[in-house]
Amino acid sequence: MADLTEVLPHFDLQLWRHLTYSLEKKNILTAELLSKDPVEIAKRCPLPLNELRRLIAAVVDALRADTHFSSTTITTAQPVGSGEPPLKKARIFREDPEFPPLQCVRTLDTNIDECLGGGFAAGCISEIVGESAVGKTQFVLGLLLSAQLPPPLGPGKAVLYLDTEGTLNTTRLDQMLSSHPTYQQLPPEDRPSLNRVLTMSVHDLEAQEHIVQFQIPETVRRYNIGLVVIDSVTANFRAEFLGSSAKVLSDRAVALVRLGNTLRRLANDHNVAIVVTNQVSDRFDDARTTADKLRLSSQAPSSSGTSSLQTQNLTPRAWQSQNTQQPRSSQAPIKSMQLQLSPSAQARKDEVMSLDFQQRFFTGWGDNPSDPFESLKTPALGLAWANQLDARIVLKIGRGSTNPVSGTGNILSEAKRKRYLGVVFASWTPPSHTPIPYTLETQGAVSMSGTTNAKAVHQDEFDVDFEEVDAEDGRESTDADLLNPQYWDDLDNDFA
Amino acid sequence: MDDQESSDQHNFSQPSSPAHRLPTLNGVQALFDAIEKHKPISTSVAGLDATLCLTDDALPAGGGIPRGRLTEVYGAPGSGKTHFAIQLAANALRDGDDARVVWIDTSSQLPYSRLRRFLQVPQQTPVGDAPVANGVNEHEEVTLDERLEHLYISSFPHLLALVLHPSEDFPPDGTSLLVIDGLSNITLLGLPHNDTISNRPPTTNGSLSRDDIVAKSIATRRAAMFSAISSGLACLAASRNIAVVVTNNTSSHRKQGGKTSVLRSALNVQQWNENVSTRIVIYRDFWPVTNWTSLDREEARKQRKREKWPLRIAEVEKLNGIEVSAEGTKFVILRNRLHAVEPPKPVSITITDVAPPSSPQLPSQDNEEAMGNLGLEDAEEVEDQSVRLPEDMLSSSAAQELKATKRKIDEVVDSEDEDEIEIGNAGRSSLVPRGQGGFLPSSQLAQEGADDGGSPLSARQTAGVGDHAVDGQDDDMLLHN
Repeated sequence: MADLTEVLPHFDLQLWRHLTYSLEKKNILTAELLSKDPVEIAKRCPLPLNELRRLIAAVVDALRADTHFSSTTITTAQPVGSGEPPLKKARIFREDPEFPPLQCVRTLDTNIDECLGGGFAAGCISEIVGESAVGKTQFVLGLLLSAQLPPPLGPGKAVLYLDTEGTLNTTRLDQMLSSHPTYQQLPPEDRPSLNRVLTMSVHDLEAQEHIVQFQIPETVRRYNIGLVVIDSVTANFRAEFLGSSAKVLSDRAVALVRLGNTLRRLANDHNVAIVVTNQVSDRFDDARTTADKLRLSSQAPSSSGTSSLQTQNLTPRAWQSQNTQQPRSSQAPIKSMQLQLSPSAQARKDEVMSLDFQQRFFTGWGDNPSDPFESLKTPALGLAWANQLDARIVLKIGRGSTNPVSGTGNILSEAKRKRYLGVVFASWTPPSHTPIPYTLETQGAVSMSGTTNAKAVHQDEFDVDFEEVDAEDGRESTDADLLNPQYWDDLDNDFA
Repeated sequence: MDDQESSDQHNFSQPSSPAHRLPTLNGVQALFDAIEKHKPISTSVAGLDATLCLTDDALPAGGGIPRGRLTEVYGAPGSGKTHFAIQLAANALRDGDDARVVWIDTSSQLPYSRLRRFLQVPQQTPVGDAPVANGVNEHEEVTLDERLEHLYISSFPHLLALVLHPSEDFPPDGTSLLVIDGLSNITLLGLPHNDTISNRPPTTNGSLSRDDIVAKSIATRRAAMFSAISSGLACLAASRNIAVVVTNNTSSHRKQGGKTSVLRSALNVQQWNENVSTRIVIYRDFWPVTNWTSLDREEARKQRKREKWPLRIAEVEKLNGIEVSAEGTKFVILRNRLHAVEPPKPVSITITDVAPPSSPQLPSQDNEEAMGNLGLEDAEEVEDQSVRLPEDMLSSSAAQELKATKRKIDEVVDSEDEDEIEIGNAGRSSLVPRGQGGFLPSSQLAQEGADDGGSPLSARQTAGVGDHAVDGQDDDMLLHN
């Protein structure tokens, strides 16, 4: 029952003092209290059965009331909530003033915002990942300001910046504020201000966990915060979990899942957008051969002909008779039977479903088969953390030299080196096909003007259905397009 | 006493009141009921529907996710599980005027705008016609709001309270689909794991056995909870005739002797799997290499445009309780629906019958079953007592291969996955000589944990003895840190 306070913070345990001691002594979790037979629990830790049943019923009622479920089963005998009525069900199809549509934190650059499907959605955990010095922190600083804009441009609330690597660069923030055209156009009282940027600095993992679990929700409630930025989420984990032994990594995974869950509750309970930054490590993969090999193998039929014993086109009848021939299948249908897959099918499946291959699609590096020389990187913290995310945005430095020292030596051109932003996956928007090039100016991230065609492509994707490809094709190349050299470049690239 | 004329005491016949009779149904009515109530929910991907209905004998064409059963859909992040479920919800809502859908969120909120768009396209397009986008009219809007129940669940006990203690209003009458989006995250967090006992001071003497016992008890408790949730969901599905669809994340497993890790469902545990009737995996892949020279310019342009969409593949891994291997169906996620890329082909399913086991089960097998599958991965291969691995972790691959082949012959198909041997699982091998009746908590000092932390809450062996640093074992591990 020790976790009941985590699960149901408002549940009044004082009424059940006489039971909780025994339950905690036997280490019974809330989940077990609900799933096991009460008779069994009553026997193990000696407790009166009726009392235990009443406790279980009370917990069930409290949990149901807590699921934002407009139920009438709240028993008034137990003080379940903190006095607030349960939240109403959100209306999907009609405007409900209490539940505004999905609020996004924008970057205030049209192309980038469109790529992001409006911005960073509230109630979701988004990750910005990229190599060091690509400008993740700079990017995120821009969000600290734009989140303060009143709707419809933004949530219009205060922001919280949790810093794990260094101190917040307030000079830069000020610079952005004074040079961005959107802020300058607003009357001074509507402009974002540094007063509404709250920061915390934390440099070890235990403090981070404590802050995220207890302090941040309180701060969010008190100061009406709409955006929480954690920069970066990796630093404290890397410092704490040293080495790469299996135990260390699995401990780390536990901590990550717990962090993810806490952040999710925070995001959902208070409708805040959570943006974290992440670092990368290198990944070595024989890019070209693996990719080509797998592309070709995906065309091979999976039922590899003669090697498997029974491969047929099965009609329902044939299936039925097949079933009766196998003695195992005479058991009840629900009972699972583990049958061996044919070795070649299994091998092919393993290749495609291997972590290395699938990683190409959710890490942000490696999903372009026509670019075999791209150096592959992997976001830190692995699959366990990737499972906690709702969105992942990748920032890459342009294909010029990644070494800032080499190059032309022209400082100005180095500073304006191209960066690319891409959506790897997001729960509210499709992944981006072409990364958007942008540069970091004084005002923040600005997409390059040569992106009109990228935008056009994106527009096509959203507006055009698959079958309507034919209808739209006629409109694809107009005279203006033919005069645009970018159009011909794109065509060449597509055929490459 | 003998008031009622219809009763005849001497014949011991009871008055035939309606309460004593079971309602009868004529055959035609029964068939109609079966068709109507058991109509599966289409996935809008034609090939996948066809595969899913292969085991439904008496039902009309047009397969899909079966009602009354538990279906699991799993995939890597960003593979398209949520949108797959959104398509199912849209199809279920359009299926009838009083069809209801319950959507349970555990992480990101159901993107309403996407659901709205998905609802704008009718489920079945008449052959030859272009899909007509008819907007949702006012009347439908009202009913749609009431017919979709959207809940948010923040922890595992919340889910258990809903599922194991259902009431009349949950799930509401007429529900045809219940979606739980993201079950694995909250499940893994709600299970007991070693942290709950980490406060106890480590004992030096006999610490191994003490931790063994603790690990074993944790393992049984975890197994019991997996059982509880899976049987609870399956019961809910069967008793209310609902299609229960659950989306799960993946975790990585290293195959025995292999260099790569494979992604499996994060809840790939025997107690979970045995109640899952249908399992679908969604993964991404590159578009197959196109032979550009064979296409004319027009077709090439169309193909180029098509390839801008990420290609996703849905493969059925388990159908009606039987593990199968069927060819995956390629599809893409468009703005307002899923779309199969190729026309449906005749579906072939591969099942390889297994020869009956030639040797009796090893005692280690029983212990494994008793302990249940620990953690999230497939059951670790419990060491055969007669096979002694060398103490050092770097056991030769030959020895492992020998072990593997021996295992293949001896072990019965019931085991979860023969291949899940952990390379250099030091903790385990150090326990073998103790000879504790073949009892070995399958500690998850595994490569999976090493690989990507894919097994976050496995029952871990806290024994200090077994804790060798696994250096140089795995390239991935070193790189990932």
